[in-house]
Amino acid sequence: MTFSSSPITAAVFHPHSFTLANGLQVVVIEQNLGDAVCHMIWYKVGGGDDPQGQSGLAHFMEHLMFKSTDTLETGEFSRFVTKHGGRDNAFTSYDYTAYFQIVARSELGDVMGMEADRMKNLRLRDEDILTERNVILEERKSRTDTNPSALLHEAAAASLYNHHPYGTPLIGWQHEIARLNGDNVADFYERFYHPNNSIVILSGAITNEEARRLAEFYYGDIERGDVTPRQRVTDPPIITERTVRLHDARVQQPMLRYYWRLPKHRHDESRANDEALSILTHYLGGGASSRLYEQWVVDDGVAVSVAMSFDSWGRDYDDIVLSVIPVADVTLEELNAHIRTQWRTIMSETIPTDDMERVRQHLLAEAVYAQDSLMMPAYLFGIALTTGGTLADVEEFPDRLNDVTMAQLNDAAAFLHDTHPHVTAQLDKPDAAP
Amino acid sequence: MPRHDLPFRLLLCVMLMGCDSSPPVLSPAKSDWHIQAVTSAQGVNAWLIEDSSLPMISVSFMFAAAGSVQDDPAGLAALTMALLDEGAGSLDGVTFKKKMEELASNWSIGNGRDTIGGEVTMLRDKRDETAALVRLALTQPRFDADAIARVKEQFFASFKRQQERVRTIASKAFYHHAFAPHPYGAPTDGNKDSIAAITPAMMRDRMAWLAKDNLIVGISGAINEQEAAQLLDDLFGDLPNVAPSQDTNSPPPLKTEPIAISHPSPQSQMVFGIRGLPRRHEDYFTLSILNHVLGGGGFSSRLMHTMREQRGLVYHVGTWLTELRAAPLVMGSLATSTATADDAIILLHDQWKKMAENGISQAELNDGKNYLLAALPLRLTSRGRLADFLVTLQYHELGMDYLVKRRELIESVTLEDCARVARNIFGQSPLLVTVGEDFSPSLSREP
Repeated sequence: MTFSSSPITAAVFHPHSFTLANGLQVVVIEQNLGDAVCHMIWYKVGGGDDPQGQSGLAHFMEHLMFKSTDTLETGEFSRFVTKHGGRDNAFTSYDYTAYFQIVARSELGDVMGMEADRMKNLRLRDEDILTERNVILEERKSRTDTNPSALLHEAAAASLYNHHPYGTPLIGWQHEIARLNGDNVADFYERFYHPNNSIVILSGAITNEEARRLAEFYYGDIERGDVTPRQRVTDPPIITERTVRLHDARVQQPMLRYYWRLPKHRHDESRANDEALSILTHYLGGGASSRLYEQWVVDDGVAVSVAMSFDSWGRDYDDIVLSVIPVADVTLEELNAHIRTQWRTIMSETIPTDDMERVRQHLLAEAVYAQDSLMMPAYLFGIALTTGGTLADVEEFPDRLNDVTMAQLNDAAAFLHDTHPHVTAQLDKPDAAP
Repeated sequence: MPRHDLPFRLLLCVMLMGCDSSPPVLSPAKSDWHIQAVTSAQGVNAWLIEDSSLPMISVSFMFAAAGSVQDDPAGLAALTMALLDEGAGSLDGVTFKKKMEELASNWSIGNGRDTIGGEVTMLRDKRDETAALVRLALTQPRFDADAIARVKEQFFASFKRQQERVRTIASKAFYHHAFAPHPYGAPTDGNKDSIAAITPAMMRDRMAWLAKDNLIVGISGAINEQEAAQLLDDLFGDLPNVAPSQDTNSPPPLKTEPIAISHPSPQSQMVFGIRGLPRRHEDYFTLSILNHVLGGGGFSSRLMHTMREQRGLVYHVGTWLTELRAAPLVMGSLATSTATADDAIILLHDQWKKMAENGISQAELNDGKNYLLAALPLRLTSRGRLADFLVTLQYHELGMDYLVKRRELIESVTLEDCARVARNIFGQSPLLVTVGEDFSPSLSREP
């Protein structure tokens, strides 16, 4: 592949893909980054599939996958990876649970064997479950309970999705984590950990032919299981104005956040709107060259920072989040009033063509930089395939960015112009209560 | 026979691969990069790894001895670096950043305690324009009053947010109690009073530390030797030749009086540390192995095993080597519920003592050696990391043949070395800083 000059065109990673007889999909991204291979397995299950009253179960399952199997001691898999210089870990989202190892080519077979083993042969022993539950309660404290802005986000998400599971914390509510038990985990494992509910992604120093041989050998014999399609509820439209405030004695720096919720349009013509929203939100709030930064930080002097992001990586909904931190002598109420006064004017401005092209070139270059990474390509394909997207969605990202028109950008701006933020979230000190 | 040896083995290999009953094994791929030394017309040196398989270039650079250790007042380097692209030459800050984004290039610069470091990532065909912009920031920053006021406000907001996080509070307190009044004890980004006191004149003077004679550069990507020489001059050719004199006094030994900081939090956060060994010390790799076994080895370390896997006391516990030039450290951290803080401290001290008294086992030594040997190439998987690695090699004067020498040094570590270094290093009592709800850490158990 050669890039002479812009525009950067489609086909970024050139993935191969095949499916074993048992339904396991394999994706291979051949890269020239030395001897390292990244092996990932993505299960199409996540926190969004936690049963009612068992929040945090998908994440708990992820932790327990590092315990013993019929043939491996607890921690033996990780010790093998570490001993050979590699690293391993796992991550859970609402729509997927993924496990990965980075190892040299010569260790890949053993690693695949151990990953295949724990798909079916995990031992869920009571003592491991109790110990690991305490680990997760500590994790929740480290991530959320010691962090006021994380507590605020938890409350804001619960308001943004008051029916759909995206409103329940991934790690779980503390009181529900404390009650999770071995039966809950065993049911979940039986239901979702099957080859026909998973995707193996290999990136780095490996060819498609090598991957096919290894995948057949290590994963080919696992029997497919009964996987019922995921059932997710839909949130009703938001017709109320929702504001959440956290006044916490630990807060030193007040902060204001706005959230918008967008339904997913994976399979219709308006899919292109995703790219328009990416360009728009970057133009508005993507760093210190953005429109809102220039307005509120540089010109008006009411904020010290502005950050806006569009997250299109969920299966059922997309989010737009705008975070603004006020300068010391501006209260959150004043900042909120300032923003709302200007909002519709800014959102109805004509976006300069130069700015649109600048942001587009920046986002296109990210597609080149993403190739200079062992994990990033595997990560992008894993997210796409577990949230209703396709390999082509990732490969055609540069094309879709190039195709975004000024009219689509204006449509996206009109959405923000017309739609009151679905949730406004304020973090402040106790004495700042209105 | 020898003539048939290789084809026979290849054939056997293919047969095994095709056979369902034997596990297929992949042979290692050769890392084919090699390092070239480049010198520009204006005398800027760099090491280069050329690789044209992607149309991009990563540059990593460092100004040795220029870090916060030279700051007066504290945070001077951090504020100065934060202002470099907030207005340079004829461009104001927003225009500068828009131009950088138009080129789709990324750049950053910042400081640690010892050094100032930065990186530039660019597409191959945007090389000259990107270099011109970065050169402007490095040599003609404007330090406009409005930009200074704005960035100072951002620092103040950042200090407030740091006070909300127990991890940051504990880490800053550790450095303060370990080193103050030595400059290592000051936060690398200063504090409210020190930042407020900084003037444009101070920042202009501070720029003198960005010079050619303390500059170290690594380049990796789609660029050949001649182009790299040109890029070096485009980026750094206008810098002054010589930085101010560079002497850092070694701070006295760490204090070991435990520090407890009261903070409303459902968890106690601990940060601990002792003096370690410099990078080029003959026992450096022995210490690296000991650290790996104690708390550096991810899920497999002794601390993770006893505290997390066996008892569920922590989500994370780890140790690492901090390579401060004048006072290298072995550091660690953990967080646990207030109610279990005492248990965690007892376990930590037990493990510390066990390491000091018994060192490690032959199996742990073998695994630790394997880890160190195999981990480095597995980390060098991007142009950015290769460029950083080239800077590290030069900064510590490790040599172009380091990978070969490193293997010999690691392989030569013995159990006796481990016992001796464990006794010397882990025989020291750690400085332990705890942040959390009021409790008295029971530190009577000295290792």
